[in-house]
Amino acid sequence: MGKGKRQRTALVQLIGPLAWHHRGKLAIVVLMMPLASTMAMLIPYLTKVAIDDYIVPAAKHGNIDLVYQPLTTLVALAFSVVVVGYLADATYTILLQRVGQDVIAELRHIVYQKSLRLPRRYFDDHPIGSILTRVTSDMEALGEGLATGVLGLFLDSLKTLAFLGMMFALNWRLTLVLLLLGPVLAVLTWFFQRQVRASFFRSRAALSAATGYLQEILSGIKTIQLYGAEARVIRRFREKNWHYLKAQNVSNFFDALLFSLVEGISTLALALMLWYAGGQLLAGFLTLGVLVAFMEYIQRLFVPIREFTQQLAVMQRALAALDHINQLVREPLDPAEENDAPVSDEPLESLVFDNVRFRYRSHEPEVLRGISFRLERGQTLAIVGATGSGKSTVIRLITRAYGGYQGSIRLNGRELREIPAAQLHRWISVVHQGVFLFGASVAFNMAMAREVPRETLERISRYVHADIFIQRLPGGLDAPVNQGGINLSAGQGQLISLARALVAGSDLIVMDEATSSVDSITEGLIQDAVEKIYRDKTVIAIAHRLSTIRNADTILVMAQGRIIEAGDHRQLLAQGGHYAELVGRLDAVVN
Amino acid sequence: MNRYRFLLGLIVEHKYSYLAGALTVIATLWMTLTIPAYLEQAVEILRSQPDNRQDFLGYIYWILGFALAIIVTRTASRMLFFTPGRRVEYDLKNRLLSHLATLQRDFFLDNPTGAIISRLNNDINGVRMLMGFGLLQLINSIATLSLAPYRMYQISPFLTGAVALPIVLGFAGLQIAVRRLRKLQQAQMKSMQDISDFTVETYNGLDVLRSYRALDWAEGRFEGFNASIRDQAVRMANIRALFMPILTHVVNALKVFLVLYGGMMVIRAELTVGEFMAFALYLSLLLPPLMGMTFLVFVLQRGFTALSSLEVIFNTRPGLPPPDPWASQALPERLREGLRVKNLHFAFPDAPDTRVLQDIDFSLAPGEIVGVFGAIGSGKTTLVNCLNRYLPTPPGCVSLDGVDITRLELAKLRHHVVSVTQEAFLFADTIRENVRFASDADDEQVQEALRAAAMAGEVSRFPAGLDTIAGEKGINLSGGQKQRISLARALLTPCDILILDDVMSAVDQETERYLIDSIYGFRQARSLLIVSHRISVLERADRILVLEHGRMSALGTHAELVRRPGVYRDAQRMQQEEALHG
Repeated sequence: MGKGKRQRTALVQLIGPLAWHHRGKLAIVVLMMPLASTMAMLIPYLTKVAIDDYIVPAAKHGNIDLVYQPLTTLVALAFSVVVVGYLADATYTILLQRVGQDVIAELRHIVYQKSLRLPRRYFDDHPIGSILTRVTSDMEALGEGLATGVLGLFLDSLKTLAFLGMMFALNWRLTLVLLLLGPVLAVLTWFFQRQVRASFFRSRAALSAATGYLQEILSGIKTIQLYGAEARVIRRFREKNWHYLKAQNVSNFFDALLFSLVEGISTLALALMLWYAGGQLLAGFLTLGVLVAFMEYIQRLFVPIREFTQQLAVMQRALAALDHINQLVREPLDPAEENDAPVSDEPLESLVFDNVRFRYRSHEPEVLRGISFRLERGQTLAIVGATGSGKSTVIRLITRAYGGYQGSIRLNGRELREIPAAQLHRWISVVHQGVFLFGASVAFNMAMAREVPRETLERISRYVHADIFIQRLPGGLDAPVNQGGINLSAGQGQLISLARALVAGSDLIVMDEATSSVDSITEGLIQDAVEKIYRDKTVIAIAHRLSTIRNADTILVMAQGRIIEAGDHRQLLAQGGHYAELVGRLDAVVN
Repeated sequence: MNRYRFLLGLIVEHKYSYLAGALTVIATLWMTLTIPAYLEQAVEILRSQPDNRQDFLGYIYWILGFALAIIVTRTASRMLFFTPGRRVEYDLKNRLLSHLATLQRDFFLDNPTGAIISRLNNDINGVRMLMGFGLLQLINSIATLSLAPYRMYQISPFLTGAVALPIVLGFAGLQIAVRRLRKLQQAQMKSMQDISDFTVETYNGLDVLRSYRALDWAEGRFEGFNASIRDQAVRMANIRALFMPILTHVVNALKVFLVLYGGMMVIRAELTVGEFMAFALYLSLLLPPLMGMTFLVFVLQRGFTALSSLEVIFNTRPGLPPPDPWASQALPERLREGLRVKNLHFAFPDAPDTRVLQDIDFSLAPGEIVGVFGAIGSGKTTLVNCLNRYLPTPPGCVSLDGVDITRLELAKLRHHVVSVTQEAFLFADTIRENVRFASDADDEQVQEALRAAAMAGEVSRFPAGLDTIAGEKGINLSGGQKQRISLARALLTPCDILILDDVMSAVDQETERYLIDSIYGFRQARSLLIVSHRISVLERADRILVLEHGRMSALGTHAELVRRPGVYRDAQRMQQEEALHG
């Protein structure tokens, strides 16, 4: 599908239904447009009538009384036209903006809602910054381009059309002569606009080169100063800066010329009109009133041409933004996560991996190469292994961060990919390795937006020993946590995330132990909490702490996507294999 | 730097351009205002002497000529104001960098690069707008708003007086609207920042949000921000629709008023039809400068804020004692005695009671090699930074050929003493330029330095060789490669004393051995100070200084130190074992 066509499709698919929702307001907007145009057109016309029908004849015979009454009426009428025009313009703008902003707010909501549900893989492929752009600057581009750009241009054109109609009615010959300037202006603006844009890009490039270099200088200022190379880098920066200055001056020239041309065109039209009209006026084809009205009309005549070239870039940006947004909205979701079948109350009895194979991308090597194990209710399982052995992948599959595995993963005998999301979340809580705390209260970070009785939170924070530091926070459980948890220590964050998993009350706790080092007191608390959880819960954990590993019912040692050893601590030590060696090393570090 | 004097200085610097610019603005304006007057004459000729075609056409040709000339003068006036504005931008950027380059460590610790750049761009743009568009608009507005009313007054004092009040009121209304709009705009910017922050936060914590089914919560909070952005936008739209066009509508209404009163005056023969038309044109001419004034106020405010912000940077001093020019001159081109460190002690300015270094005493004669050994945190890097004055070295402790280094100009000191830090910094430039960045070496010398740094082979295997760009736009180098290029740079830079601070931390042992050989061999009668926690790097030094908790615990040759019990011997044993098992 071509880009242009895709953009139009995006417009219809995305904006269409949202706009339809506001059809009442849009109908008023559509009604207001001709009204506003007519009012704008009428004022010069009424002036013309006043001059030709009353002022000029009255000036000839010098009798005011004869025209006083009708002239006052006419002016009163013109005043009301000004007021109605103002109101119509305002109504039109307000309603249109309201609809536009509503549509954008709805679209922003849709995009955000969608982005939260996108598969993990999407986040692997797209940096967060670029997804954020969909919610922020793309929306702004859309607002600017659609609400003000296209529709504003439309109203401008409509007004000009109304003016043109009236001009033709008043004097078609003069109108045709003036219209000759249209193509001239169009060609000139088109040409200069291109120059402006080209030179603008050149100067942008030069600017970013200079700024980039400056950034480098500042980040390497220490090296530069230690080598005494200040003069050298300043000289080079000066050169780059000079390129920017030159490019910018060229850009300025075309910009100034374009501006002056556009500003000068009405004056030129006025001169042209007088030159042409002189003869006509003498011959009686043209009246003074028409001349005055035309003077008003030509000021607006070329506005759409001028605006069009300027708004073109804005509209292109808006369409491109819309295209990006639409692509995100059309992104397929993981069907397993969308399954909202009813949730049953049966507890989780077993988790089985049966010859599971997995690769992250079709062209990449397998990271899991036939993993099989079984975990029964009440048991604990620890996975150990080097980085890249595949242990984190096991956890990611269980929590369904990634789908598309081969083989079978069954919970209570049901295939993982067919289990409704709500059911899975009832059965499993995850303690993520990177502890993430939200910019909300401690209580929020434990309960994660669910209604949990205060006593439960207090009981669980005592259970994981988080109560010790929570009590010391101003406000206790209600103390605010800074975004990312920067006002809490790493260990305190880990305690909260343990509590979070327990508050959720699921049957199985999936734990990816954090590796970040914490002070020895907190470390003791964490170890104790984890031991308790091992005793009381069904757990599967990627473990780094010897204390955790030692207490597990089953230990899986993984290497290169396979399970190379399995058994409990004593059995594996007796085997004297990888595990025994690993424990030896861990012991050495501890002592 | 005083900002008013500074501003005046900038204007005086470009006085001819601004003067010519002011003249073209006035010429443009004069022609623009004369067109209605000539129109008036032409219309009068048409009415009173219909046969005088020649005079009529004469006026028309003038108008046509003016219309074309205005395009030229208006372009010129914009160029004459904008070009100095850009020139000021150029000069200011250069001056700022020159100034920043003299500032020391503490300034850069307080001001991260990103903050400096964005502040710089923002401030300098503000000054540029002030010097370009601001001055143009100022002169244009003043000239138009004094000349046009004057012409109007000449046509009819009564009409001029009658339109004045509504225009002033309309203008005042516009100002109020603009102010409210700007407030809303700021509020909206804040809301946009809030919504982006929140969005990023939730994306970062998405795994948690999903696992704990808290997506609805995130959506709810998002919707709150979203709604306030929408409300602000709608409020802004209301002001834009109702109050921003108020001046335009006032002028429209005045034109209608003109038809009535001006028309009556024409009928009573107090005004000609031509004058009536000219007055209407003048009325329209008032609009753009009035609208421009509101923007002008903003540009002026922003410009002055920017000037004060730059003032702060320009007034930041390096914070070093003034150098003594005699001291710098007393130093010979090549050092004869070398470096002497006596009773050196140091505490960071923010913790003056904690001595990081204490009682350091040693010397480094020309051609000598001294090693500095110590564990992490023992003060090795602080010592190096006191020798090159990256840190504020206390006076009287460190001297070159008997001259206290705190009396030297920094440039002079660093001409003699070159130091290489453990974090290798490379520019996004060719490898050649990175190596010869502080010298004017030719390719052969660059190659030789690269060979000595064990990097020549790898560079020759890069497709573009020495022309390979380092960094994102070219080849991504490993930490070890970066260290070796930065080492080649140091080896190429002529100096008396070369300080290498842990520059081999990211290279493997084989390469390390090669590097030690070439570093010890490559020096051209230079003194060398090698800092490391690795014995293998230091064992061939003439003397080795052992640092423990900021104090010198021993000084001697490798052979002496391994015979004595202490951290050096312990480390030697441990590292030897590692090498055996490794």
